[in-house]
Amino acid sequence: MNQPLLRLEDVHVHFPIAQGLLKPPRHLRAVNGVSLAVEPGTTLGIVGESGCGKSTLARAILGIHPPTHGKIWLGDQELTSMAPKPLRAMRKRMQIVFQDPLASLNPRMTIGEAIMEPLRVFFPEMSALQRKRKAQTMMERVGLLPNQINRYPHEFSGGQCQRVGIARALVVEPELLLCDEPVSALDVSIQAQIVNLLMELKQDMGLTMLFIAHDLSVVRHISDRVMVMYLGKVAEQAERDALYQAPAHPYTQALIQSVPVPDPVIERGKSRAPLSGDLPSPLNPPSGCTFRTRCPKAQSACATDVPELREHHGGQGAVACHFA
Amino acid sequence: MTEASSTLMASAELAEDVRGRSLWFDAWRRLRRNKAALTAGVLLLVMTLLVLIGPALSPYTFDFTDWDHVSEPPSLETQHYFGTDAVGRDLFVRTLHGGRISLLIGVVATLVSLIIGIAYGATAGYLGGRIDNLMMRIVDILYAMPFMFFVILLMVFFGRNILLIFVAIGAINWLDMARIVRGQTISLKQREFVEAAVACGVSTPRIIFRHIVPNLLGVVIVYVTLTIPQVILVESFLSFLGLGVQEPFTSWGALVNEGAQEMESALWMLVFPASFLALTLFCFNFIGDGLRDALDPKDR
Ligand SMILES: Nc1ncnc2c1ncn2[C@@H]1O[C@H](COP(=O)(O)OP(=O)(O)OP(=O)(O)O)[C@@H](O)[C@H]1O
Ligand code: SF4
Ligand SMILES: [Mg+2]
Repeated sequence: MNQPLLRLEDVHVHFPIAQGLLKPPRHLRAVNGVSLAVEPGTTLGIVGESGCGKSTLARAILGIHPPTHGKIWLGDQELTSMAPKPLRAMRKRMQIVFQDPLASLNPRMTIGEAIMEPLRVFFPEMSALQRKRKAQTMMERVGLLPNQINRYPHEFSGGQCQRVGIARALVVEPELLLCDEPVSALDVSIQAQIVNLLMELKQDMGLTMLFIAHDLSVVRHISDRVMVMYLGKVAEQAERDALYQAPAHPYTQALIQSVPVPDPVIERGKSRAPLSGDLPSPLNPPSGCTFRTRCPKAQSACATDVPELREHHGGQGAVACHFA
Repeated sequence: MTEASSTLMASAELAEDVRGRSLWFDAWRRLRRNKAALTAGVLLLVMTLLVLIGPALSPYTFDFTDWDHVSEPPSLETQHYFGTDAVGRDLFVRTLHGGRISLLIGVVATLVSLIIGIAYGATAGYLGGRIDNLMMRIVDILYAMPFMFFVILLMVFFGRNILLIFVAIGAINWLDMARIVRGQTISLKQREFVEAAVACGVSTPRIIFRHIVPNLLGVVIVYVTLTIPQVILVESFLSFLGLGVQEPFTSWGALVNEGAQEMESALWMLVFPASFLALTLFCFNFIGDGLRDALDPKDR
């Protein structure tokens, strides 16, 4: 195994929730002990329902909301113990594309200013003209006309705004690109274009990617490995094909079942609503295995013993379930 | 011309950057369609020009006493267009001069409170946590102070002073501004584009001034156009209590006060300054309403 570009060890992000003046705050464990490693040049897909802590994990990696506990390495640099100044320099090596393309652009700034902003931060020695050239080159690469540089976000469609977001992230030539549900807010017809663009750029620029999504179908297309999260924890992770062909965790199985199949015969034959019930509140997670309230295979042991993440998929992956 | 160079020309033409349509431009277009606000804007512009250059059009100065024409009604013949007051000073010049002072107090006091309020509110809102808490408690404490009372006391002891009026009004108004700006900042801070800027490594001051402030300017501008008339009114109120600007200088409030005392015998002394004052207040309020509609993010 190569040295991973990104490595997380037991990362926790807890939000204190105030309960009035006298009571001590409770802690919302948005991310609750995640470890992972991404090799250079590969894509890790992260899947889980809304609210399971995917965005929080991405924010922790970027240092927007630093982890409460745990360590994060980018290459051989450990990020959580870094002083703010070198940490800011590290941000040149990792960039993020957000879920809502319009909301992630300042409505009062032209798209050119948005794309040039990271250049201004990381390459202060560049002249204004050099910055503009560089931004326009990047715009061309993501499929935007370079002469649109002075237009405003509200003059573009969602898909085009997402291209701007991608250009802004890639203009400083990062090594790691985090994509936080980059296509969830887009029309289905546009989704494929953006995913293909990301795959192309990944190839061309030799990027390592973390691709977050809430369903398995998009992730399947783009990922080398897939990690499934449930209530801030890793449920299962494996090579893409291994995960899709032989899902070990009941939650992964349920997610795969709920992916719509283009064939109507198979689609109709599938058992309905494999995932019943709502996601429990992360403020008040179930004891033992947090998935037990919705798990079809739950037994009494699941209520008392927390399933540890253990090796599976022939040593190429891991699963956190007593009975997998 | 060779073919190669002509295609080069064509691509250079294509590369001409398209101009963007900013949100400010959109707002301006909406504002232009609002007849009331536009009329108010034009009137206010005329008013400003008039108070600036008007006094030069009269043969009299604001503190000249014309002993031949004391308490006389308006007349073109004597060139006292608005008449004279009880000590024979020309009311046309005094009304315009008073307008200068009133508008100046309105604009300057508002600008002062605006700058302090934005810097203070945006900082508190953006930094959040304990600093925010501390900064806003200070605002609460200042709110509880009876500033107007202090100012009146100070003026009774030390005499009237236009600077004190600025301080008094500014001290009260920046508190409101800081609260409004802080609220806006907190909601803006959670928007993704701010997070995106943080992720790009943009420094905190730059985030505040490039990302937060331009986005709260809309609300601030509306608030400013509604604050200026309020400040003018406060000054008038002080003048009405006899605590406004010092003689021989005057303001609309002071003129209205003097006019009100002679109301029965010399109505003109009240009518001219009062209608100038009222007209200006109306204009500001119409513009404020128009701006609010034009900048409203709802129909974006
Ligand atoms: N700043 C915060 N303060 C308190 N709680 C937070 C904060 N940010 C996120 N949370 C909580 O943490 C949990 C995880 O949120 P997160 O945004 O990471 O989920 P997600 O998996 O990205 O969901 P989605 O698919 O909706 O984007 C949620 O319960 C959320 O309410
Ligand atoms: S540990 Fe038990 S409850 Fe949890 S996933 Fe496995 S079978 Fe289901
Ligand atoms: Mg999210």
